[in-house]
Amino acid sequence: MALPPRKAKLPPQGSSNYKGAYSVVEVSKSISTKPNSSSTKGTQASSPNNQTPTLLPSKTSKATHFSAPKSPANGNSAVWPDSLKAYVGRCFASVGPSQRGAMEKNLKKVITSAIESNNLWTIDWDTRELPLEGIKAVDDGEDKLEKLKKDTKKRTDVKSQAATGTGTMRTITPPPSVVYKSPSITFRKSDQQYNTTNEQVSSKATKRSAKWDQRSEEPASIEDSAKRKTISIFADTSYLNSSAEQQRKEKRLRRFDSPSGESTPTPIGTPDYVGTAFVQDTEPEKFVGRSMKLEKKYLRLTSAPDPETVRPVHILRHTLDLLKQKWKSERNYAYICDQFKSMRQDLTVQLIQNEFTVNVYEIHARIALENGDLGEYNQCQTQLRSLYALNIAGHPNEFLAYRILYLLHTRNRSDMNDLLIELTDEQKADDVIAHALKVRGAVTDQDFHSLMRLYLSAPNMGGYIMDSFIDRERHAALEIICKAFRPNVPLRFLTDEIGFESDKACYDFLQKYALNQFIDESTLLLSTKEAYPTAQNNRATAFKKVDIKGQI
Amino acid sequence: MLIPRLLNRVAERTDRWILPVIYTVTEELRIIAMEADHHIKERILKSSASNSEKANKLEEAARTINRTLTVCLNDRNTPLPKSRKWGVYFIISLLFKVYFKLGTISLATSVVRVLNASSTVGDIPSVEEYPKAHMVTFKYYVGILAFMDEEYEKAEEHLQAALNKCHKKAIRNQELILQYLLPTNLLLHRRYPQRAVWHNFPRLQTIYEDLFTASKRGDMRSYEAALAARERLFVTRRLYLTMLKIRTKIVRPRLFEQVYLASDKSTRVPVSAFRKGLEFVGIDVDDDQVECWAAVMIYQGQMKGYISRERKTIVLSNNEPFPK
Repeated sequence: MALPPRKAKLPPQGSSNYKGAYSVVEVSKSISTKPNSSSTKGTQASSPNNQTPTLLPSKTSKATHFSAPKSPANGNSAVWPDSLKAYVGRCFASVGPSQRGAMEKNLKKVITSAIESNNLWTIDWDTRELPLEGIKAVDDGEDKLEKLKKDTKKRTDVKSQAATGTGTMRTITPPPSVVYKSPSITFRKSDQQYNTTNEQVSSKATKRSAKWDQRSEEPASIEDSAKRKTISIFADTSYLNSSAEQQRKEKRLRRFDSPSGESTPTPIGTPDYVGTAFVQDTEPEKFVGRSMKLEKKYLRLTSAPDPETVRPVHILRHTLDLLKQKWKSERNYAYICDQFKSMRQDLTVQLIQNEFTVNVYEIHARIALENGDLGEYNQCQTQLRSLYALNIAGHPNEFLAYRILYLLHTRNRSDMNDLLIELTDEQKADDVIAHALKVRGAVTDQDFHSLMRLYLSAPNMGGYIMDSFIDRERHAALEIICKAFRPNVPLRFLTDEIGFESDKACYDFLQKYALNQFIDESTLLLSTKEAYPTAQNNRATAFKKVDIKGQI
Repeated sequence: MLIPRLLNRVAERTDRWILPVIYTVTEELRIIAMEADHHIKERILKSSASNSEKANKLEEAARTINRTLTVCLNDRNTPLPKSRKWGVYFIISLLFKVYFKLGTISLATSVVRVLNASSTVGDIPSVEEYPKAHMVTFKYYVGILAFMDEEYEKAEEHLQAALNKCHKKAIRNQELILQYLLPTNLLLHRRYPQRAVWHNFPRLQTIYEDLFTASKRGDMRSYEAALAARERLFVTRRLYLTMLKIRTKIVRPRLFEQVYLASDKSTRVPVSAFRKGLEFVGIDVDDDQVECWAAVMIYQGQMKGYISRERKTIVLSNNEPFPK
């Protein structure tokens, strides 16, 4: 579901002191454009965890205030609730000037998630705790992985210490994610654990459990609970793993937010599982471009993408049509390749993975093949493999055949072995794949006779991939022929056996590799014995190395 | 997952005494991870609903064990006799097991590369100084890696070393080593196993005996049939490509030899005679194809002689045209 442009939600006049916070919401996605960068790095890095503690209470309050008036429909007339304005005011009042950036960041997250879950108007901002996570502890962050090693008990302790330590009116953070995953069963189990480990928070936790149960019965949350209905047998391990995996996922999601997020420090006061809860709770924010231009030059992204320059799908569809047309009429590969790359980029940043995506990659792959651009082809191939793995319709067999041929080109035997293991009988029966497999057999057996026939009859774009290694195999064939045949062989025979369509083309090839000197001009016979050393050299050079270009 | 990771941290501050603990924990981790994956898969099958849960516990275990390997490799402070480096080969073998199970062979290759990098620096003792059990497992996997890369000489060297040091009573391990060593020997040296091998390893007998007999006789038809019957097995054990190689490098020359013998060891055999011989065993091809195959055999030294294109004849050497 596409969110309407954020600007529409801006209040006509913000409370003058805290405009900053609103502007954060406005530019929520294009952080990099924000001038305020004094402490941005630290805050950005710790952001995944910061906003979350406040998030769950928001859910809870959604449950309690379920009958509260709904927020005005997404759109123009929206204004901010007064209580929110006051809340923002309190937030900024509670921190020093050096922490403003961090607070802005936190607030942004809180408000964004509220908007997204349509809770902006249902949340009781007056009683909501301030998003202070990470504000004081930003600088002495701890390694995420290390955090992982601490068990639930430790976490609770650390957290409660932090809560008392900061001395704010913060409520407790929710129990671990596994609980959240399966409200009905596992919740109570680990809630008990929770109680025993930390009496201080137990009463509140119980209260929340009641609310959750209630919530899970409400129709509004059916979708949520369906998502989480997995009940783990290995409650403990799966909890740990899922938290690790979620963290990774989350990090991946945010790779555009903070390019420097590689060594994300986790603030001490923030238990790391809250990140998990966050991801499970709200869908990743969908990024939708607003650019209406059909064409766009490809530029490698170095910062967060700007929605103004990203084209949404319906525009991209038109772009594809346009590009197809242009390719037919102009055949300018440099232009086409560039355009396709920018299209792929737009698809990627908007997380679009559907048949259209497959179509784009397939067409680009084919055009790249046609132009002998194996590097670009291989990039598409890699993407296509994962798209097909998601069961998105396309031409998996055609591209599997290409992959076999490509592996022959790179002479990657272990990958070929892997690929053969995965082949199903249906795939083997497919004409195109069968052809590629025969090529494989011919290449490994050095059966040049079969190979050249297969080369001349290659289906689809297979011939273009074979182009990349056929010369190599021709040299191999010539060496074999020169060694085995005596005293000579006719040019005609060579033309057939090394896969040329005319004697002229074959002769040109031999000339290029200094073998024509051994051909008798009148009889057109090649003296094999004399030609052998040259053929041997040619082959050795041809097999020396393969240019791999981004091997999968 | 937690305990092995913690153990990694603890182990960084200890020396050799911790190794037995590491061995037990990592091995257990591997087994538990496989069990977990098994259960998850079952559950996914049962529920058939699309949930985000994936059976990837073994992958995570692999990452943890890989970390353990680094902990062992990077012991720079303790003197060698007490060093954690003595755990290197056990952990690597364990990683191989996991990677083979996962089918991520490229990761296994990269581990070998890391190891070679440190052993050339003289950082770790040679594998021969380690407990035999570590060495055998390690050599076995390195041998298979070479085998899959079609580096048969290297494969033979490692597999043979593994077999030589393998415990007498570890029948199953010997069988596994031989499973790859037998085809390697056949392909490289046309060496056939003795009867005793079949007797001691009945499982290998069912896999290989028919194929080996057929290849000895040049009986292409039986070879093809036996190969087709075992295709799935060979493919999953990554033996298939090698068995195809044996077909062209070993069986086909025998078939040509049969034709040569049938034409009374004449040194000049028309190409058509070979073609008919092939036809007889169900391979229907044209003369050019026969010439091509013959050329490859001459090139690879399985047949001595030359082909006369003009006379459509293969002229064989007087002296041992099909060398042993």
